[in-house]
Amino acid sequence: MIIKTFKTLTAGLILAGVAACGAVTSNSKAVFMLVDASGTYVREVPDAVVTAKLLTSKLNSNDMFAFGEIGSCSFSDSSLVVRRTLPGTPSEAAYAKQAVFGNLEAYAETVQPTGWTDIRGGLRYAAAELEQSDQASRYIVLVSDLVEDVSPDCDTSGLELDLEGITVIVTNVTRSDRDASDPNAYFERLEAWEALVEDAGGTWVHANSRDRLLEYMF
Amino acid sequence: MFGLAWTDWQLWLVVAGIILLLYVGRPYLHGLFRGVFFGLAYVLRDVARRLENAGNNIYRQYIELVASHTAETLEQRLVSQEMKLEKRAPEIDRRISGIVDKLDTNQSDLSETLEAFRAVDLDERTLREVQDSIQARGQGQSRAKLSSAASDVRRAVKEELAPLRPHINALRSELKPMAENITRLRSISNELSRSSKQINKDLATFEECIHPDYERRRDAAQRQSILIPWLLSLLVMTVALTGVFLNFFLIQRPMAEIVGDDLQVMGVGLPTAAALVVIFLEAVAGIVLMDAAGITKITLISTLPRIHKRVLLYAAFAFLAAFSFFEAILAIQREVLIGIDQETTRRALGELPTEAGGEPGGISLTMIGQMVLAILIPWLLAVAAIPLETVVQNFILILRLVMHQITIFLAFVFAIVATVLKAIGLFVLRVYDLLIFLPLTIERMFRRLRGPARKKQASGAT
Repeated sequence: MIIKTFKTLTAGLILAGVAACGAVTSNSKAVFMLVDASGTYVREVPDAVVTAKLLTSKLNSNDMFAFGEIGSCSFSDSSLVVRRTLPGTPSEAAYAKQAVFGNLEAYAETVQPTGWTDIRGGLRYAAAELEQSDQASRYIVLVSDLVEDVSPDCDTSGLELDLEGITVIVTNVTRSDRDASDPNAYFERLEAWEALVEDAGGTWVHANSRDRLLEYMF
Repeated sequence: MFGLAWTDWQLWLVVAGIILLLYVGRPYLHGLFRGVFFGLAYVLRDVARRLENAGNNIYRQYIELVASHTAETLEQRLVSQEMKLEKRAPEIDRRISGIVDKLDTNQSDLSETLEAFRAVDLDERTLREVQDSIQARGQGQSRAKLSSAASDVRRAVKEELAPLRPHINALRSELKPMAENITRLRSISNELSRSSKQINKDLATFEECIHPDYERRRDAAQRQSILIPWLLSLLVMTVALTGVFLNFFLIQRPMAEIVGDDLQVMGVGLPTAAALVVIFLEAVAGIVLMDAAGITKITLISTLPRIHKRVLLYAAFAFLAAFSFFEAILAIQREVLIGIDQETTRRALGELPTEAGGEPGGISLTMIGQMVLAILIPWLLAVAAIPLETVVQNFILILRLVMHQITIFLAFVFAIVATVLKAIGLFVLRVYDLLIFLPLTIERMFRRLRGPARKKQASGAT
């Protein structure tokens, strides 16, 4: 009890002292990870889950982490696997991370391939979620081959995106058999998505490996 | 020149025109050159003089500071030596009294021995014994008779000296403690002599440092070394700073548990800033503790009344004890956090959870080591206030000395520049006159011719 009061008092005093000078800034992060679960990419989901767990393990207290699936119609609450803001103390945050791991592992075990790939819907959903977060920096980590294939019932190809203040990091963009015969198509696809993200006000980053992704974020 | 050959008369006309112009403008241009070069030289020399004065003043202040600081240190030392001597005086007295008592006892024993020796009248008795023996044996000259007389003499001497043997043994046994006591007395005397020499030396330096004559004070101050104590203190401070770094790494991580780790203060993470604040507070508490205890004089605490100092001493002690306790808790927390983080990383990599399951285990040796360090470091930081005082004081003195050297050097540079400017000015004037030497010579000749006529005219008028 005494220690807790002492802790609160110390934290309060330090914060009040420096906040008065206007020198306190937040370095908290909000990360929304979107994983493609379409038929051609679903085999990459276990690897994406490992990436998600490593990414989560490196987050600090008060950071937010969400994990969503890109499916046939991604702008839906059913595509959200887990969303968690980590508690304010590192020890509690660590236990919360372990709980998130449980959710992710459960998802990896039960994931089913989807018929269509609605990437824009997923981006819109992630952007809307991040907009509500209080964190200083916001990231969407997109794990997909970036081949969009929307269903006639859920055509989001003309969807307007607002990614102002959001960094979109694409990773593990796999090359399909079609890309092997036409390598330019792969780079054109990347450029097209980069243009889309930047037109929507976001920042585009292509991390070609998991290490690059973690290095960029932390 | 001017597109003309040296043989062209026009060129010579231009040259003559220029010379004429220079001759006409000589008083004004001379004035201008004098104004520029000599004026600048004057200003620079004045600046050099002022800088030299400033440098000398800085040096004088430095000398006064060193002298007063040395006098203060010596005064403290003399007072402490006096107190030490006062405290030791009864002990020394007791020791000397004990030794003197023992020497008295030895002396009385020796007197007894001496009396016993005096009682021996070897010459008279032995002679009588020999005479009696020779008379008893008649007037014979035989060898046998003489040897019998000699053995009688030996026996008589032996009998005479027999009572002295215990005294000789006693004397032998008394001599050793006597020598020991004398050695002890000598060592006390040496010790006291050493102390008195040191006190006399300190007193002489102290008197020099507070002498009304500046020269004497300067000589005394110049004998004091400020660089070596400063370097030594700096070395100790560096070691203390290493301790600070160690302390920082011990408490930075668990600090996040108290203040969170999502905020930054001027670009520095909040746990880092909080850990630094704690270390600074510990250092401040250490400085207050040392000042209040009278060991250092970094702050104005040393000038406070005794009761205030006592209060501050207890307060600083309590704060340091609280910080020790606080850091020990943080050390435990650090280990727990490391355990949880390792467990989280293992789970993230898909490894099987350990038996402990991330729950904090018992107290390990590492944890005990960290706790001990966490408890000790705040006190070590407090002790670092001692070299800090020397570092700060001597740094100010060294800074003054450096400033003195810089100002003197600048004064030298300005003086050199002023001299060079003056020389250039003179050179320019001479060159100017050289260019117009022809009209100047004519002018002088003209003056020489008109000089006597004017004098005559003037004397006729009077």
